[in-house]
Amino acid sequence: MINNMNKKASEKILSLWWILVLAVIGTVIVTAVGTYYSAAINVNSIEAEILAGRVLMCISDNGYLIYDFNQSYFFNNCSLDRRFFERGSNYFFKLSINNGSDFNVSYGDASNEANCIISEKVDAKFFAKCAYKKENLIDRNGNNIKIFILTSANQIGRKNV
Amino acid sequence: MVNKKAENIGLEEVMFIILNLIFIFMLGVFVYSSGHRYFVYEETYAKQIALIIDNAKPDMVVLMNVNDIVDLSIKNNKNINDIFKIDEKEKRVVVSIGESNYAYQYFSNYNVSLQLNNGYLTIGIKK
Repeated sequence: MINNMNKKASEKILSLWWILVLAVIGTVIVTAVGTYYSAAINVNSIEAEILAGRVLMCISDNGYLIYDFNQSYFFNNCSLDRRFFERGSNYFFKLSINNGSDFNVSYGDASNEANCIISEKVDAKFFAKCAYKKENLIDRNGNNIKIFILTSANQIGRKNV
Repeated sequence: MVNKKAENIGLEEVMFIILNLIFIFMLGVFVYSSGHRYFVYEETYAKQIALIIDNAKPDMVVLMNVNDIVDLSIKNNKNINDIFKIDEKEKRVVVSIGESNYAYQYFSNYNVSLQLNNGYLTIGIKK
């Protein structure tokens, strides 16, 4: 009789324990799957890299600097859409030649430049992602020219329901 | 008396197994439905195509295997010619499998054409 009572009590404890185990398994699976599928696919850093590559390709030819660029050069010759490189836009790029002493130009939302510096030090989720390119090119006189390109992208896609 | 007890124990065990099976089934349904959420495909393809466009050079043609998304839209009774679209004015790639859609912008000033053929998407890029 005592044996039977003990058995019944242990079964109850076992079923409670089993419910707890199921609850833990369920919570872990739901959390893991939910986190995986709700994670944002952020491609801003890749976009910034691509933009930096596009700017570099546009101002150079086989290691030589193309000289004739002016303010509208990038939009006429590099197939960049000007609308996306204005104040408040998602993209930004800055080109400096010889540390800005020879040529210095930037397009897009200038606040992104500061954001790039901040996001280097702090993990800022909603800040623009940045890319840097440093290259040495040769000018028409055979001089070595230092090129610095900073780009950033901060686009969030749009889901329309 | 003994038979009644045996019946009770049998019922408890059956209930226990049924509840466990219900639990496992519900988890399975949750994982399956999470894995088949359309917006994940819409977002992935929209971003992928936008990056391809920005990374391309004029007069390039890129062929992309999109069999999985085509199969999903057929299951969803969606016209496959409406899956991928280019919003030329806003320079956006729009991908739609169900009722909703996902749009992602590209920064290049290219003329882009999309053509779907036998599960392959042809992305044509012109200056």
